[in-house]
Amino acid sequence: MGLSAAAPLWGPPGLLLAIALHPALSVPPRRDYCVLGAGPAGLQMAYFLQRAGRDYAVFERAPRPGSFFTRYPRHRKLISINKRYTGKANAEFNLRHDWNSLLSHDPRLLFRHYSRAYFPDARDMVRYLGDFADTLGLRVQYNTTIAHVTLDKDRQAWNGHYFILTDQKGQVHQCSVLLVATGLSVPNQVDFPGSEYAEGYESVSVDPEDFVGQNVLILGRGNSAFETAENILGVTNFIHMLSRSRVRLSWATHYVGDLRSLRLNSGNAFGKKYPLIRASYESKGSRGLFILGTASHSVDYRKSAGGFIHGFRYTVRAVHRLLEHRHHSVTWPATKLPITQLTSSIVRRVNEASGLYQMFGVLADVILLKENSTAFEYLEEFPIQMLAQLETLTGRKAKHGLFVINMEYGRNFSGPDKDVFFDDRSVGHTEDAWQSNFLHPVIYYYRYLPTEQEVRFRPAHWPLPRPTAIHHIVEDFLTDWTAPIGHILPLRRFLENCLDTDLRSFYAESCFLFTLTCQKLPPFCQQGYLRMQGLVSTESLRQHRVESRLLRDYAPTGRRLEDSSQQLGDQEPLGSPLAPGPLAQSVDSNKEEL
Amino acid sequence: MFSGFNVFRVGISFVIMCIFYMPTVNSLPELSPQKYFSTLQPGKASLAYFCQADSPRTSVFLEELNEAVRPLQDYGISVAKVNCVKEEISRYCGKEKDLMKAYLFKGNILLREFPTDTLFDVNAIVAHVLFALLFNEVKYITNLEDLQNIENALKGKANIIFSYVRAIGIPEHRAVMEAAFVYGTTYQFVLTTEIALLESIGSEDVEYAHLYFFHCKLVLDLTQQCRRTLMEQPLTTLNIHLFIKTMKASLLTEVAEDPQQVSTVHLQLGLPLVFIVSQQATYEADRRTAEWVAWRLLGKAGVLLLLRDSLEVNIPQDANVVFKRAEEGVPVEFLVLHDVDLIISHVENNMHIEEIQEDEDNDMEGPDIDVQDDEVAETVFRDRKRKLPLELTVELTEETFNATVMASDSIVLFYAGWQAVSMAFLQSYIDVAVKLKGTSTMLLTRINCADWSDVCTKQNVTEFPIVKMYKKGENPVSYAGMLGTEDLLKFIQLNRISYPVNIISIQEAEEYLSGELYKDLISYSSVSVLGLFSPTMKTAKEDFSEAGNYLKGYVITGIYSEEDVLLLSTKYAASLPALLLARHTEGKIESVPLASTHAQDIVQIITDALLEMFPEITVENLPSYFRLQKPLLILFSDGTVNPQYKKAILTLVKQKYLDSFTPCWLNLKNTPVGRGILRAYFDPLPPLPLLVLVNLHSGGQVFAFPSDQAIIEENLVLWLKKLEAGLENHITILPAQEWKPPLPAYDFLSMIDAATSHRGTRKVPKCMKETDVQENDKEQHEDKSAVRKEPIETLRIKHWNRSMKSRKCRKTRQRKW
Repeated sequence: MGLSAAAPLWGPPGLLLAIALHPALSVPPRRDYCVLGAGPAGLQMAYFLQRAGRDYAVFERAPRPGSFFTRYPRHRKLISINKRYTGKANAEFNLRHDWNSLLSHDPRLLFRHYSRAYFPDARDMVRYLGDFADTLGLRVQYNTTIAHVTLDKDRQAWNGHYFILTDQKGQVHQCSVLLVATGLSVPNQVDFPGSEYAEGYESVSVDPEDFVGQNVLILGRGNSAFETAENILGVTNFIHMLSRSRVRLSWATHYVGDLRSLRLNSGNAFGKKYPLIRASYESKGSRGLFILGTASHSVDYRKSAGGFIHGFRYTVRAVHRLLEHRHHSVTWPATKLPITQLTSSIVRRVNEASGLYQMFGVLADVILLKENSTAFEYLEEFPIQMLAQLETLTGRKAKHGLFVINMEYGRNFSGPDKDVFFDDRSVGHTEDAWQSNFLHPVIYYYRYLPTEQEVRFRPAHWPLPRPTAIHHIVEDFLTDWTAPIGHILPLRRFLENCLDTDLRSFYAESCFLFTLTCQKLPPFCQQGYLRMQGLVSTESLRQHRVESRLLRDYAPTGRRLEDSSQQLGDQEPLGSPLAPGPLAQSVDSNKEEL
Repeated sequence: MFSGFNVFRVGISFVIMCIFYMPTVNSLPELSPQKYFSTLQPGKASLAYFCQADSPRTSVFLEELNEAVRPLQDYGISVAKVNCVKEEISRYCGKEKDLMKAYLFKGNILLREFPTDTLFDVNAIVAHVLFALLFNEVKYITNLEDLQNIENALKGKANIIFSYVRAIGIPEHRAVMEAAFVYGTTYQFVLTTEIALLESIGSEDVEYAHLYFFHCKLVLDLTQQCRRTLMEQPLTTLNIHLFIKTMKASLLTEVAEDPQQVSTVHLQLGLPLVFIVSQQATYEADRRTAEWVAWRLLGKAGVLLLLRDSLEVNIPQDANVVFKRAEEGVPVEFLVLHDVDLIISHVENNMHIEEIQEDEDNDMEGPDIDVQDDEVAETVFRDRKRKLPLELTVELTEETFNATVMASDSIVLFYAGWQAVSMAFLQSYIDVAVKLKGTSTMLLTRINCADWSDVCTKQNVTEFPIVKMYKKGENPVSYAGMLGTEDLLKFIQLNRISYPVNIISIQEAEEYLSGELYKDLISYSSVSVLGLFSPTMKTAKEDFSEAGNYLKGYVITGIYSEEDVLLLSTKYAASLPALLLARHTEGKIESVPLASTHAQDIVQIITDALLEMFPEITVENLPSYFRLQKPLLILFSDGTVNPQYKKAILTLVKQKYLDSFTPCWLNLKNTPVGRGILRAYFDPLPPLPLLVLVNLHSGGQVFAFPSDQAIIEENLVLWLKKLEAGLENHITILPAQEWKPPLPAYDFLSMIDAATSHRGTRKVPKCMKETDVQENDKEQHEDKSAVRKEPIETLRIKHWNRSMKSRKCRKTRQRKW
């Protein structure tokens, strides 16, 4: 079976996978997609492959899914929150506070049905993952340990080679795409100088007293590593945290996560500093090899959620979308909408999208403008570091400019030596929105798709290259960005100025007037009214329109202004919707909405 | 009294320039008491603030005082901060820190002392100081009697400027005092803060500051009251100045030159001129009229008497008024106005009010970008507190959605609670529910996609609002009509039955065509369509059925394909396959041959057939006529169209004169917005009815049928021929500007750049340098938090797209308002 020529999976660091000639003595079963590991990430990928009707198999060494959770964390308490009631019905929004569920179309497969605890028990996770696999009928081969992976060059193959997987029984599986979702549990066989001093998590003491005054190196960085680190943080001199994958795809990471303050000295022991996967989660060494789940965390090492269920469930979906395009010519899903829906589509997403929220800075929505900006395509949760390659990765065209909608925490402008955190400062004014500290939506406008160079050499602390224009939606503690004046109006003005058009909405009566008195119409009238879908105002709204007009130039000290605000000197206020320019607004209305 | 001041009264405009455009760079000198008193010059006024040496170096009061240095200097008043040091105790130095006061000296005579809390801001400082200095020139009164005494004393001698301000020390008070500084020797200034006094002279809106000009100088009879002119602009220094200037100008001037060339002080002040055309024979009467008009327009326009007889240029024979706008290069207008009120209203409607901005902090550049300018968003916001009878519709959730739409025929409104357009339409939707209450088999439901996003996505709803109809055994249908009560109601009512209706007998077909069969539905569809097919025409029937189904909810369609179909086709002279169109309002039945039987073509034939030959154009139906891409020939009518005109136009239609146009009429009673359209076309507006040709699709020219001609066939034909030959001049061209952003956005990118450069990590952009210099200046004596805040304040650059070329379409109209 050519095993002799195959590099063992946990070979020397740096060598990703050895390329071997594979004698075709027998024809092993061939799969389009092989997923290693039936943990959360593996099951999540299996779900998407199943829904898309793809040929796939999941290999799991344990008899049931989620074996990691049968042993870890040792205190049996998950650190991922399970907020069952958010006060909102929106299922998408609620995933922002559900850190354990996998994505599926089946509302029964939400973790809140499995545990009432805010920090749930690990046993519930095991039960949940089992149900997920069973209910959805995912194709998992249990009790199958993949011992070796080799590459078999073949020009017919999707990626120029097949992945040859050999399990513990010597059974061989040939795969076009290999998706590694084995997690980062403590390696069974650590093999480096000094490894003999390592102690396994399963046996390590949970008593902090045993670590007083010591320098501790923690290998691995799952919840277990944090659990351990947190436990002994107060008593140790220094904690180093390091990790590598079980399959020894030798990279080291800068993971900081919740233990950000520890200042990790990463990876020097292994001589390899940079992760070997791209922002698309594909291995840099082997095309067609993707890293999913916890192990893929190097992509967003400085941020957070990519190493957790509530983060990687979205990155897995992104990987699946990339694969769908690459191998099945299915373009990245997008909604095509008229430009009049631009403001609304952004408002909708920033208010409910969970993927944007959990994977801020990593996955972002992209709006591709159509010619003349009359319409646009809305793409959800694209890996933004791959922005320059968007056209080839998604099959969509970005010729006429684009918006990127990203969620961000406040930025550091003052340099490393200064304290950026102003005392108790949260931003309340729209003009100061760019200084928002808490997670808030940021919209980037590019006239042209940035190049790879521009993405790589972007300004420090910028998640994206310098845009043509940028807009921050002012932070909101309830992440409710629907205030008409505070959030929606400034967003519209930004979009209008980017597109150099008028995105206001108008009643049919106004459109009627414009149609007969102007040669051009604003988009709202063009795309609505002229297509016989104008918005007819009711009597009470008409009254308000008359009133708002009267208030148009309202100035408290000038009666003259008030008079002149009747622009037409009109006895018939109904006939005066001419160019609803800026309408005055009672001063208190702003306050009320906020 | 203060002779020194007269020097400064020269060239008020210069002073005003200084006040408003000079940056306040002068800072407050700090002197010791001895030094201070040595600087005092005889006859010169000086304001000094005495404070303990160990008092805080900054305070709100000092900041305001610092700001007042420059404006007070413009009035020849010096300002100083005097530090009371131990060595030289002055009696002006208070005993305690918090008892420090400001003192106003003239020469070295103390005029007044001010507790610092009366000088609460720069306006209060300037107002109080001038008030003290101009004690004789500004009389402060508290009752009507005082006012009457002053008035009586000045009759035949001088005019009075009387003003009311709510309090001493507020910006309006300062403005009055600044005006008094300039005009105090020419006019008697009278000031009050008594609201009762203002009311007793008959003012309205007493919550605002008021300024009146009392024309007392002209009054010779002491029993007569002085005429009063109210200044209508807000009380600011500049406005008062302009107001007084117009009061000073002569009331009525006689001219005998080309009005285009005439210029008076009014034009310079941005006010229009009104010429009353006079001739020898009626001179006396004209002059009286002109005087009357002049009084009415005092402060709003200049009035002149134009002597036609000695005029060298020609003006139209019938014109009796000439109107000249203040804007340069705009031709004068010749008007025929037979009523003084018409003249007044014409002027008032055409005044170009230029708001003069003089906010010193320059925070009010143009319209505020934080103010809502979306009419839908604004009206929905204003209406948010009104309770709608939402209970008339069923609110669906993820749990109830499928069960509900499966169980009964339903209409579902998909909306988003935060989206203004959705919420505006929700009102119409509820109105439909009110109208259908208890009568419809269709269940009216709604689902808020802000809550049930997944349900909406599953129903393929990606934009809002969307209305869908769910009927048992049928695919859901999206409503594609106007988002309004009437059209949606029509859609729901017409969908009570399925289309096309299968007609099974000749008798039923006749009932169908006469409207008898669906009596209760024909009010929603003025046309019933009947497809006639022989039983063998299978594909044609299928295509027609598809078309009928497609048009369900918009028009009634039926199909007849029994063996005896030939009876019908013969009766209506139609060769099969054919459509019969029954127009119920006109009681007419037409036949249309079905050459092509593609469903799409049939839909097109039917939609075209729904169009009328001479429709009343409305907000709702304009799009279907606009679609034809032909110039509109619109007859504007105040009420129902005159049958004579209608007949004339229909005759022309029949004679094919109007094939290249879309003739229609507009009832201003039903469509009041039509007045707005007429105003865009005509100025002044001739009497109705008006016949207009609007070339909407190419060029935008508007031609008017001469209003002095009768709307009869002959005249129309002649006019159309002249139009065709290019002999008619257009009255206006519709603006062709694109719709640009109504206002700029916040330029966060520049703010970020500036903040970065401020921290020294980026190169300073050139344009920023000036502000930075100031910044650095301030940093030296301001605490850190202020410094941190400062760049943000200066960086509220609201004009990233400074050109502001927006909305010329509207601008053009604005000129006409």
